[in-house]
Amino acid sequence: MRLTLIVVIAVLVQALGNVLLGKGIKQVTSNLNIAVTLDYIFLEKCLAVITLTLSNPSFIFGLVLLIAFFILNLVLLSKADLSYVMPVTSFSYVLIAVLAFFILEERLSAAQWIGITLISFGVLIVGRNELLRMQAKTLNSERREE
Amino acid sequence: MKTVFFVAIIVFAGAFGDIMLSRGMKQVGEVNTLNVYKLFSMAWRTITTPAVLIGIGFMAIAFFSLLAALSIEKVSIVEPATAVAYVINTIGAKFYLKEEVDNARWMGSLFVCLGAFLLSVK
Repeated sequence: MRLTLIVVIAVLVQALGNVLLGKGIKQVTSNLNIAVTLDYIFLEKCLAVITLTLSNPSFIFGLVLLIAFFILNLVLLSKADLSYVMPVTSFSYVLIAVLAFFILEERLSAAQWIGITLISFGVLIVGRNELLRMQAKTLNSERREE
Repeated sequence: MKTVFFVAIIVFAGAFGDIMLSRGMKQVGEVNTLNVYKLFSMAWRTITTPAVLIGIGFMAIAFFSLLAALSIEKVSIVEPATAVAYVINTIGAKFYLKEEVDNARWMGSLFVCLGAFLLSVK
């Protein structure tokens, strides 16, 4: 049960982190129009981009959340198999797409909706299977104790 | 041709990075405490475990290859191609980490791989 809770938190943190990071980068780049030239002005513009990015609250908060996700992912890998952690945490991509659809009113194509369904189905299969595995494990250890 | 090369590096370096992180974290031991002192000692053990450091190194290689690929090719080509990493990871988990990958896990990672591919096609 505790494992599932950490998975849920990790998925939420990763989705929110990605959305905020994307929003921050868009805010920074929408104000700028940089052509790559190799002169002093270009270097000055690069410095301006870095300063703008690092002072953008969305970018910083997104980055902090993604670092938090990396740590949560390590905690998950310390507890569970990679072949379980990898598929279930991919649910954050579904969350990002659905959030973009409802909040940012971005359009999703038919192929993307099918993708969302397939990922959700995959997560459901692996998640349910893990619960059954855990139940079997506890049953086995109880039997051994008797 | 360059794109294929960079996508291959993204997929394989990323998968190898994940596999090494998983291996390293199993060596560190299960994080099962909320005691701050114990958490710090586990964090220290994590960043001094060679497998974890190798994993982070490979993930960095995958990240920079992603940047390189994105500089020569559109996101709509690069991102769907990297979905195959889900299946490569599961193969690595089965044969290198010797995890018990049953039918449900194979099916699940295949569905996620296909889904991630379709979702990233723009």
